[in-house]
Amino acid sequence: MNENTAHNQLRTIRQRYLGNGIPWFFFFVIIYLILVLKAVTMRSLDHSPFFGIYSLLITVYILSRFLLAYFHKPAHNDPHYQPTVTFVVPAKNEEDNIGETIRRFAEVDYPREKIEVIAINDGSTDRTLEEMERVAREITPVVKRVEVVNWSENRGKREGMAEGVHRATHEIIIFIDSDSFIKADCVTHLTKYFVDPRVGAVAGHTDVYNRDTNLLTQMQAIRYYIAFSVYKAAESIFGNVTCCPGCCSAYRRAYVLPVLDEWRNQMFLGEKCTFGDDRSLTNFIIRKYEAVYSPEAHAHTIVPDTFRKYVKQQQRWKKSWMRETFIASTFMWRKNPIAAFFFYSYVFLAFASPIVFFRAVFWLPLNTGIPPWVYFIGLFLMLFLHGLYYRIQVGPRAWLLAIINFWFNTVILMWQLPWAIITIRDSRWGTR
Amino acid sequence: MRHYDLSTERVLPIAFIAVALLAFVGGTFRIQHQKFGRTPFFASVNLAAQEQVDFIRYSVESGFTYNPPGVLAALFGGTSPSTAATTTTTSGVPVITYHRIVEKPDGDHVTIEQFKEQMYALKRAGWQTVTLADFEAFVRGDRKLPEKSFLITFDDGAKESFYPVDPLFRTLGYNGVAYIIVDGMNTAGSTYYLSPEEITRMLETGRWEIGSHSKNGHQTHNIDATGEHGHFFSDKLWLPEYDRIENEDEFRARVARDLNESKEELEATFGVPVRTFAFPFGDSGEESQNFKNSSDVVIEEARKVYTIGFLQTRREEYSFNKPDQRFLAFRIEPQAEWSGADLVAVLESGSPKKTPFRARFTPLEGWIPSWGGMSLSGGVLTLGSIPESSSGSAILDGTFDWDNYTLTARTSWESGSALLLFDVINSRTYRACSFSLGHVEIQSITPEVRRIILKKAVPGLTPGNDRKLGVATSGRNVSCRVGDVAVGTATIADERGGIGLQVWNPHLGEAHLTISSLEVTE
Repeated sequence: MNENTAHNQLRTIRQRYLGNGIPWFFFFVIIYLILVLKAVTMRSLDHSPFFGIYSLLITVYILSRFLLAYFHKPAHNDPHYQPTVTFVVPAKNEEDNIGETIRRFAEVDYPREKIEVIAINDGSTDRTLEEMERVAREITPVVKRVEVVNWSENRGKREGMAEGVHRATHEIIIFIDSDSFIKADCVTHLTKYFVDPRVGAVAGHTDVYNRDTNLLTQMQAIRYYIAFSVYKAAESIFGNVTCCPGCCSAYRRAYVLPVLDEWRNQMFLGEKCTFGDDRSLTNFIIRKYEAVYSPEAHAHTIVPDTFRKYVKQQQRWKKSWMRETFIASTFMWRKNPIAAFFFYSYVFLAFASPIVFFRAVFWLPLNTGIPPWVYFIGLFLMLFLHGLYYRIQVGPRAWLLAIINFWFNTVILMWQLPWAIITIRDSRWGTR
Repeated sequence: MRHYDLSTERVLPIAFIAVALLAFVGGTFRIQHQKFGRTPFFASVNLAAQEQVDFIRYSVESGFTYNPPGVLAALFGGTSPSTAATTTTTSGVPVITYHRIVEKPDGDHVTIEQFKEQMYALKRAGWQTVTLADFEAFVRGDRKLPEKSFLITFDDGAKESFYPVDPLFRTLGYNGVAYIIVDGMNTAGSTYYLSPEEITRMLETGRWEIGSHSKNGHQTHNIDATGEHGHFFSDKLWLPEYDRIENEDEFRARVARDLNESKEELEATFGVPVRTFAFPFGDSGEESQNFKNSSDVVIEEARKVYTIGFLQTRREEYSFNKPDQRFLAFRIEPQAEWSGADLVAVLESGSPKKTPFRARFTPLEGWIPSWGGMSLSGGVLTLGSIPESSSGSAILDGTFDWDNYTLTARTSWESGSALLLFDVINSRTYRACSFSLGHVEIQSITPEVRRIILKKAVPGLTPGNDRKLGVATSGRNVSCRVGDVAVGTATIADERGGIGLQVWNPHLGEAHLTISSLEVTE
């Protein structure tokens, strides 16, 4: 290592860590507090192994996310590797956003002759089709090929995505939601991972577009940021990202084609699966291949801005999580043992958390008079840790209020899983 | 292609942080254990916070309420400057005792607010604590102590008798004695009792001393087959394996073992001498249900091990402790409803009184009703027997040190005997001039016997209104007086002691005596 690179590295380290010295300090203070809290509660739980294991696992799981994410390494960009790409964007009643979404495909920093765009109008009742066609005409001179598919009847997002794959002629499919906007360097940062033939899918980093609308969207901004830069990064270490989301993800077409019909016609408990398309497709891919996360491939998406819409969306996600987690459980044990351990741990934690909540908040206070403040403080510390990480990485936003909001929401969201189990076959919320 | 980076420059900082975090967590528990022993963690954190917050609060408060220049000294120096030492010594030292100092009123214990008020009031009134060692030397007769000296004790060794108290002591420059229940302190994970580590810390402050409050004697135990409960130190316990209660030897052996073991264990654990004992429940055998002589046995055994056995104040005793007192010492237990002023008044009423003395018969003058009924109103003291009994009696607190005096009282009684008590050691050991129709007696009373030293006919002596009666004691000479005339004189062993009043009537419930003035001169 010569002096110059050493100097540069020092500068990077200084910028990266010391600039946020105080928040980082508090970050580790929070970890310290969590460890102390856990050590104390573990001692008192030695007579109930179930809750002891829960308490231990949840801490190990969450702290391991940060640790693994820290070790996550994005792929190097090989300028000689530039596969052809197809953007697939199914849309229904998105007249406001669809134009901008598609326009950005033609503005990427990528050889334009390697770009194909397929937009599917899935039975919109507004001017979505007109918008698609207008922007298609606009970008046709710039890119290799543009195709607008028009369905007068709504067939569902999955059908749209599958149709896109079917009609695509290029190597890499990039799915973009009709309300998501990509940045110019997004394509390069998605495709560079496919140089490794084991990689079948790459999740981009999606942030919340309408973050500043209200406290709910601010809260979701934190959730998105953490879900990608911590949780997906941690999964990515083992090439085991369990969901490459529809808002901005790339798939290798050659790996998708063999499972396309199976995915398209997926049945679960006798019902056709009409939601959780992205998680489902990822699941098909990671059986044989790897799915990774690209922190540099940036996109923005619009999130629900009312609590009602938000709860509905979360409920839909919970249901697909249930279904796909059940499916993934059948093969995950064959993957990397550490990845498998954390996968099954998370399944256990997700199912146990409502029980633990019930015990701490209702059962113990009513039966033994032990107040639930240890539980709530523990929960708050964990969320605070996430909030601090967000504050460090993104900058001073309204993160603290959002975290407090998150704290309350957790209590509500936790009960969605049992509710999702009860209503798993009810697909009324399946359409977007 | 690997998706992770395990280069040294990436691993080293996180490894360093991880080790540091684990060290901090480990250190936290180490410190917690050193300071709080097996006290649960969250309780320890609570107590640690309380200690600091209270000390700052008391320091600031005391600065405003009793001693403005003391603020800085209290905050930075730890103790406030002590008031100039008084040169006058005292002949009696009161001991006050508490159990727990509680946060919210429970009708039984003194609250933190009241305790604070009581301590501030004592400090303002010039009362200063002494150490247990000083007190021991005082009752042994080996040491003089200044006026307004007192000792504070806390029974049970509860957390609530240290944490709310110590910051206040630190500010006021007071010290205290904790009477520890050995089995209590050894209760793992207790949030009630102080752990040995906390007691060590308490001793290290230099503000605390300890004594024994028994090892296992603070619980009630079965005393018969039906599960009736009794006190460890006053009842013969039920032996289920033999289907009988203990015999005297077994009782004696059990009590002696506890007295010895508690002392030994405390001394071994803390490396300090333990020479005093506080009887659990303030009962040294008097409350026995099944063993009449338990008090004798218990006190006999306790005296073999300890120099002082503490009880709570009793009706028959002076409230202060005096030199040459034998083994038992008595303590005033401030009640939950007492204000600071009340406590100061109680201590003042028990304080050594000087002759010449003229009684005002106010409620806080120190008249202790020993038995029968007593009332104080309009500057008049009335003694009467309660139904089914034949006498009423009261002694005057703070007079235990009197010697060579003349007592003159204006009395009214209708029948039976009016007695002026002198040389009162306590309400069961005293001398008296007894005035009744046609004669006087000089009596000497102990718990065992009432001895008539002199009986003399006094023609014309009749019960009635506003009779002037008196007694003069000077050295070995005693004379009973009617009007201004000595009507009976005797020579008896010289004894030091205070005064009291008594009425006696063989007709049950009819004894009645009113004293409208009382004067004591040299």
